[in-house]
Amino acid sequence: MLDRKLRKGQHEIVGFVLIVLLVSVIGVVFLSIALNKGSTIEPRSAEISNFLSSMMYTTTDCAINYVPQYRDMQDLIKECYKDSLGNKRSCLDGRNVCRVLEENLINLIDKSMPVGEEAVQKAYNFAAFYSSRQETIPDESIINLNKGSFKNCSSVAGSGHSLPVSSLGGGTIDVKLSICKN
Amino acid sequence: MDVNFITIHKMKKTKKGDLKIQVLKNPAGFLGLSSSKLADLKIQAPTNLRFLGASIFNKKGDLKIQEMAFMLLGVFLFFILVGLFVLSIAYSNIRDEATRIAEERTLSAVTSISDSPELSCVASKSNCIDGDKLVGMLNKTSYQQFWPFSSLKVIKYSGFGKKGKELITCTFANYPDCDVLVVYDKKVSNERTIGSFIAFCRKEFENGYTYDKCEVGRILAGTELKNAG
Repeated sequence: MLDRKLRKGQHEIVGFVLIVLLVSVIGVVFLSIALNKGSTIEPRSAEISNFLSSMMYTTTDCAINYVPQYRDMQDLIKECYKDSLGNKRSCLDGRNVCRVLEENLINLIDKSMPVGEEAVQKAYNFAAFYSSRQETIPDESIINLNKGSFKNCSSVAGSGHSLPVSSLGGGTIDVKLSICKN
Repeated sequence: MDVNFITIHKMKKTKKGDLKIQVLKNPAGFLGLSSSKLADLKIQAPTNLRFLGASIFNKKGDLKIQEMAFMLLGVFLFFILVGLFVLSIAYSNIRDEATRIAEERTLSAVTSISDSPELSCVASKSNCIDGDKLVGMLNKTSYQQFWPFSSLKVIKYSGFGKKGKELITCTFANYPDCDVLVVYDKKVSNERTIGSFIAFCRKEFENGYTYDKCEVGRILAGTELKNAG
């Protein structure tokens, strides 16, 4: 009788200890998963910031008034925005400014930051949009380029660049580039 | 006492015989039991009830101690695991942050080179290198003491995606139809190279006009690792 009670008690203790250990292990696992998923803030990268600023000075092959007054990338973004407002703009050779902008941007990003499963970069997102000074007016997208998938990134880095556009009603054109790293 | 003495003494000579004698002479002492002790127990058992009760209480106490020990072990292990987990997260964050700060510092140092008067573009563009100025600096060994880097190179846009041997080094003769401008290279064995994007501009002439032709480039600055290994 006493032996049975003792054995029952020992079993209870062993069970209790196992439960405590099990609960603690599960808790630790859940905590680690929760903390790893927690950071959604995109770190600002100096490299991407430098890339964006240097990209804006890049001379394109689009001249609007005369050759050799070729537009640089930031001018072309502004021209593309004017084009989207209805003020049709095209290069001297007849190509649409937005089309030229897209071609130049894709070539530039693909060559400078190659994207692929084997490469350092897995995917990118480039966006240029006009922001009015008035908060009630929503941002107007000028161009949006995507390549690759942002799923399972080891890290996401990004940066932005603002273009001063005094001639466009006091607003600004913001350019953003996000990179998903393998 | 005499018997024992004789027994031990004789065991050296005839052990079996002596043992038989000893058992016969003192069977209870040999077995470790004496009739008087058994009798004592019989007498003690009914008169002293605490004899039985104490053993039960002792076992219950043992169980409680055991239970407490297991509980303490569980709690201890739990806190150890949590502590290790928190420490690992905190340590990894600190290391990441340190790496990021070091990278930012080096990058800002490299960026400041592009904004220095020796290299900066005339048109007050930030993060821009004047290619025509840079060509004038090629093969000038005096700049090895000017900047705290073991090597300084600028890769043009045409050199992006090319491997080391495929890059065409710029000289006065082949500029601008080349890929990399080597300002200087101390050729150190242990070198860590940090790169940053820059705008690389030069003057072009077309239709009777001169204009700035800019492209994306990459400045590479090498630092000698003195305590590597």
